[in-house]
Amino acid sequence: MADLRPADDNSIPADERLYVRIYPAPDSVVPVEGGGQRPNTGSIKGRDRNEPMSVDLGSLCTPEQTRDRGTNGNFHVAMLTAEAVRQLGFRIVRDPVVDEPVPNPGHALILGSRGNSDDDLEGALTKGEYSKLARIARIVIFTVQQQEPGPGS
Amino acid sequence: MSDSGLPDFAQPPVDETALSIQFAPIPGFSVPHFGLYWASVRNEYPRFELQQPVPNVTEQFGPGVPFGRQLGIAFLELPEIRCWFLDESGNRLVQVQRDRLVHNWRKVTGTETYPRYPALRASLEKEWERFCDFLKGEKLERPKINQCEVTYVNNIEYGKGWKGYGELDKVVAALATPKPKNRFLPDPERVSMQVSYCLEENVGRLYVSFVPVIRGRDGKEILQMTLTARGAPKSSSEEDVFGWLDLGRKWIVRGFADFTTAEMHNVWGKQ
Amino acid sequence: MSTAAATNRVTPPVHSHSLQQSGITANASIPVGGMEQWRLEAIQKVIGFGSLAPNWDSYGSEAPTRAVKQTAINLLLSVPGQLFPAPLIVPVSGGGYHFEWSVGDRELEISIESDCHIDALRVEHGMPIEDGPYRDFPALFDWLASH
Repeated sequence: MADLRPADDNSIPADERLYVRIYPAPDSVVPVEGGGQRPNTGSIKGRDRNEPMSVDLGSLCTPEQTRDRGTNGNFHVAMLTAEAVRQLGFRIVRDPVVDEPVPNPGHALILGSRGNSDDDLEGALTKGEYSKLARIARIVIFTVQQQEPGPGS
Repeated sequence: MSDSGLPDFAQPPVDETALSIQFAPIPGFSVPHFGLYWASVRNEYPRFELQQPVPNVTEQFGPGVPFGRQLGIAFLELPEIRCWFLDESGNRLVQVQRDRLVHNWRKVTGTETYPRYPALRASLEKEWERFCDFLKGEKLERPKINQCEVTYVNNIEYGKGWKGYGELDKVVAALATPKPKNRFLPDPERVSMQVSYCLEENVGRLYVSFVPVIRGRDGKEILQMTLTARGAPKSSSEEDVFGWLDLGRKWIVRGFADFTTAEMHNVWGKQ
Repeated sequence: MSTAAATNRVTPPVHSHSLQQSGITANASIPVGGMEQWRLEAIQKVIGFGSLAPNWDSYGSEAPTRAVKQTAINLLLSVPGQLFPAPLIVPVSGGGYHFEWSVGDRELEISIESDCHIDALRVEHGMPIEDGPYRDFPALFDWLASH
């Protein structure tokens, strides 16, 4: 089993906020004991389960920008801290997006430990790792639905 | 009334129709023939889906015969399949298995208009002729038909003439009797009903069922009223086969009108 | 590949309570008689997510396919109804579903991927307790019920 993941980027400080866009299904958000809300595990899973998890660095974008980038703004936003993510054993690396239709200089990746078909580590997350991240995340923008969530005009 | 003399509705709640011709399993008809047949209809039916085959079903009559229909125990070679051949929209399909051909029309989006029986019959005639020509071309024997079946599936939606199972008497004529004033039971939570009738001279049966269902395309809970007429034509001639289908359809339309109330007939635009 | 070829598929045997294609009819429906309200609402949610618009998640995902929807409905119909509360249900990027049941300190997360693969995760006191392959479905609910 080879670890092909890049090293954790320690230029991302412990108090860095990491934002994640959440589709606002009725069950996407669950209450947390003691107050606040967190995303449901399924809400933070990315489209390609073989890829690391995409987040935005709070030092380079606001949660509103995360919510609105390439969308009509009708999404929730969850937040994790770099410190809490690293305490769970994840690595965080910068992954700025420069040449897509909507550039995102604050784009970053959370790297998990799910092995690929050769058992090599490339950064994909296990189902348990998604569950752990969902439980430490907190909703920072809850958008009351005015219209169907979707792409920006 | 339509020009066929049968009750006619401007907006019937028809969601799907199926016209089926069942026959003795065609000797030699096997997996490759499904592909060859598809090649002959692919222009019109470019999509396919494989399904489990439906059982051979024959209506039985007479003393000493178990009530109702009998599932056939035909020892068939493996693998047995049923293939759907669908047009691009999915509204029309032809189903083929070794002992049956079915032609369906159905709503897919829910906005389609029921095309009426004459058009469906004409379409089945065309598909049946095409199927028989195909068999002939492959040197397979012409089907020996033993049952015909006509099925109409109607979606009776809440809020259109009735609001819930406490008002089922507004839908089902047999229930439209005055409710006792001091009755004990509350309005029913749900109701299911199944009734069967023998067709004239025992040429088949009509089955009528009311079942609450969740509709697959939109998740709406509706009352599904299904009428199925099934029986044996006098012979395998096209005249007798399509004559039986016409009879089955007559019983379905009359049965539908008898079973449902005048109020609902108004909702459906009875002519 | 033509659109026609892309939509061709094989339908595996359906369970008796799944989306019912009653004999020769093609449109699917699920008999409701006696169904618990939570199960009915859960199935309706699953069907509703089948109509999500393309790019609903802003990452290019399509709505769950009919096969995935069918798998999800089969799963809901298989849950022992009397013992469990309604699950949380969300669509998952890529075209899948995610279900969560909570009983006491135990949670059961079941996901259905866009290829109809089913995976499950048990969680106790907020901690995932295994990351192995999908386990026997009844055993998972036995575990959840025995909290």
